[in-house]
Amino acid sequence: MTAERTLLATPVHNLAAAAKAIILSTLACILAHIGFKEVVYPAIFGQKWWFQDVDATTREAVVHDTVTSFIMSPLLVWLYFLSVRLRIFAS
Amino acid sequence: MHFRLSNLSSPPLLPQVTKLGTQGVLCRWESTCQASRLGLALHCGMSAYDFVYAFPKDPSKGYVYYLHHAAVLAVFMPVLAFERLHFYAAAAALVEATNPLVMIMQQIDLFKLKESYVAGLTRVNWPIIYVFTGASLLVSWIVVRLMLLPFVGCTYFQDSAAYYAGAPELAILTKTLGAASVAAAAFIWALSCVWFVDMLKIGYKEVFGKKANQ
Repeated sequence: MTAERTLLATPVHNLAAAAKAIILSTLACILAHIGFKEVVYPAIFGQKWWFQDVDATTREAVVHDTVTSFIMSPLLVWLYFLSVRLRIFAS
Repeated sequence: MHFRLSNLSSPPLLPQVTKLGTQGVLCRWESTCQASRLGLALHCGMSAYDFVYAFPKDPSKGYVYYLHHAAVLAVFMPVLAFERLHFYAAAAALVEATNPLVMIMQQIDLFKLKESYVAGLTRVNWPIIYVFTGASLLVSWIVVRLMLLPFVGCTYFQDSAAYYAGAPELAILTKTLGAASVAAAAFIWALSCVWFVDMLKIGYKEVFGKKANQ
């Protein structure tokens, strides 16, 4: 059996696992978004903070940036760095 | 729920592939690890979250953002599912490193922090932070996006020649996946070039516009 046949034999199993992982990650991001907006920011800064005075779109954008750029991106960079380290000049 | 990322099993290396002799190439093409699986899954999840939850609430997000995220999902999902090319995907996705700096700049702009002091944040020297962040962003953008993506692309093409020379009967699926990945990386690199020019224009206006006004 060639590697490609082996590859073709596995995707149903792998696709299901990958789909589950992606759905769980999406839900985690949405939960983080709601958590920051409703719990974390109000708890840290209180109701009088300037964040409360901005319009709803701006507030959503700030929370979105917090989740994607200040939490997920550093986490992803660390995971990707672990994945590629020592292999980039391997050959 | 009976889900574990380790369920994403990789097929074993086979004799005709291992005869290629270059373990580095094989490693890049066929190896995976928990970090790459988790990273790719989280990356796809983050893009899906943007698509279904965040972007619809933000009218400023134009079609380019949707195209960018569609390209990421279209490439990373099969890479994750078929367990091939994780090295190249992970190396190219290091472009995420520029995101925090971009967002710091955007939020300083959004709240006009460099022009007017905001209650509670008056002790922070925002103009200095703005300049420092902007300079860091330009340098990291050049290294991580403009230089790294072509480097990963060149490495991919070099490796693919070696890989297919040893196993020419393999790989319609992998070739298709590789071609799609390269196309997506080229698209993201082109976008990065366009955004870099935009950043240079903003920087030029910030530096020389102020001097002209003075």
